[in-house]
Amino acid sequence: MTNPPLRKSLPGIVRWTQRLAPLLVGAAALGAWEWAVRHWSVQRYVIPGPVLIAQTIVERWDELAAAWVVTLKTMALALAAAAVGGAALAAAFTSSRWIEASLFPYAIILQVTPLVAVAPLLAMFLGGHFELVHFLCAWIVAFFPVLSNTAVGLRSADRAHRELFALYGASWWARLRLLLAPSALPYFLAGLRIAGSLSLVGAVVAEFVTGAVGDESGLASQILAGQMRLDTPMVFAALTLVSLTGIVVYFALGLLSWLLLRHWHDSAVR
Amino acid sequence: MIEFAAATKTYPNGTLAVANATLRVAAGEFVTLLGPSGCGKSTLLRMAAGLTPPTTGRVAAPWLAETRSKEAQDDSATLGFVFQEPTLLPWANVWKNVYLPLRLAGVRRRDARERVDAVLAMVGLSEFSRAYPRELSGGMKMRASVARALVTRPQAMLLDEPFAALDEITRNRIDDDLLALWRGQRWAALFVTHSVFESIYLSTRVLVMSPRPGRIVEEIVVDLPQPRTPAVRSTARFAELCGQASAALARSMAA
Ligand SMILES: Nc1ncnc2c1ncn2[C@@H]1O[C@H](COP(=O)(O)OP(=O)(O)OP(=O)(O)O)[C@@H](O)[C@H]1O
Ligand SMILES: [Mg+2]
Repeated sequence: MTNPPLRKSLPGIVRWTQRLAPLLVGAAALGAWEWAVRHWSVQRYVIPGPVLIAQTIVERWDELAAAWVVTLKTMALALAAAAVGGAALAAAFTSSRWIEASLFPYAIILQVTPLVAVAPLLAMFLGGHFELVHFLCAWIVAFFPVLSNTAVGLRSADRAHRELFALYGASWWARLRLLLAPSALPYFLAGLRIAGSLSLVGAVVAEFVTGAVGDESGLASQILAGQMRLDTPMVFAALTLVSLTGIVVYFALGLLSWLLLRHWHDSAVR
Repeated sequence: MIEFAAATKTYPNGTLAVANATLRVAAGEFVTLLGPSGCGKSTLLRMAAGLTPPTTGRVAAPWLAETRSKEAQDDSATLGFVFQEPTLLPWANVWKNVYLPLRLAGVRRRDARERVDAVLAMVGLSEFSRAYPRELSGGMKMRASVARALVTRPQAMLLDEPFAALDEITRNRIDDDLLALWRGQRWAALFVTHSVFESIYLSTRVLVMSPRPGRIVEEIVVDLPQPRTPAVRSTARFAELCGQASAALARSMAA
């Protein structure tokens, strides 16, 4: 109360240090790692230092980029299909309790069955169509959070708003588009954020299981290959790209969420 | 316009909310339902709007399915409903919120522009047409809600304690604006309130309800001159009518 200027400037500093803190921690950890590797002269095939990993990424960029594109493609397609499919199925649930009651159990079965157990089966059935297997695996894990979140969101529309729409004789489609969908949007976006990370996990796991090589080899294949050749720097380089992808996707979806909700939803409005 | 014949509402959980309600609201009338909290006023209004059917008895109005075909061709354009809460869609700005009833009736945005702008001007929100609900004060939200109800040019307005949550100064101002709109457009109004002063000031007729199960116990015809101005509030007749209404309310509570 007595010194508002100070109290006003403090949160600014705090916010910035808060943002920088993870970076500082990361830099310190990397520095310690590099120092340790050099100090004890650790062999490069045991644990490479950060500098060597960065070098590997630059020098073998063509190889890595090609693999990265494969993984990214699997992931993006799976995420898009999960978003569209999950939202569409959830919307279908609102039209009839019967549809929900008859389909939801299968969505749950799909979700609770471990992916590493399903992937070999898919690989068996689909033979050499590795891309399809990868896509399906990534989609299976990404689909459920979108579906369940959107289904809850669609049911969470305000009762008074529902009555308002009933009063004006809104059609099912108008109700879905103008009332239920906007009500469900924050839930859908939260689900999508989870699905983003999971689709990456799904894509990587699928690549591990199928062990695809050649044109269809993604980052996980690079990791596998590197492991077999004792090319540990390559393993770490590919791993770095996987993590980076996950982080970027997470924040990109967060940004998307903020852009869509900033005008009205409490989670996005300052 | 609106007619209740011995309408009763029992909720599925066994609560008897409205007992044997008989009332009529004629075109151009401003009728107020005055009663204590929980006496079934909202339930009665919801029955009038067709949001819930009466358990026994009959409710008739042009916008209800049974009576619709005879009296009105355009089924949605006849009724405006103002809820106890503003019930604006938080993701849409004021303009789009007010446009909603027209949009649901299939009116294109281009064709609706003039009407939406006009009704926003009527409630004094022209400058805020692009604002989102969270950026409005409570009174402004209620004004937007009234504008939304008026935009279809209804024959009747049902208002459920629309301004109960506002401070007295704001409420009196909005009441005056509402009366001016009513004088200009002459919809039939069924207005719910638990404020004696508000009921007398606004209406041509006050129906006093008893505590739950709600029944209409007394009727007071308000013969104050039209158009009403704030000065009416300090006349002897106004005080007398308020006294009558309070006494009726007290009797209904004791019974
Ligand atoms: N959906 C419902 N299911 C069961 N009981 C209900 C329901 N809605 C209202 N009631 C009951 O019916 C009675 C009348 O409720 P109503 O909302 O009509 O009162 P009200 O006169 O509008 O009160 P207030 O002035 O507080 O808004 C109350 O006792 C309430 O508990
Ligand atoms: Mg009520």
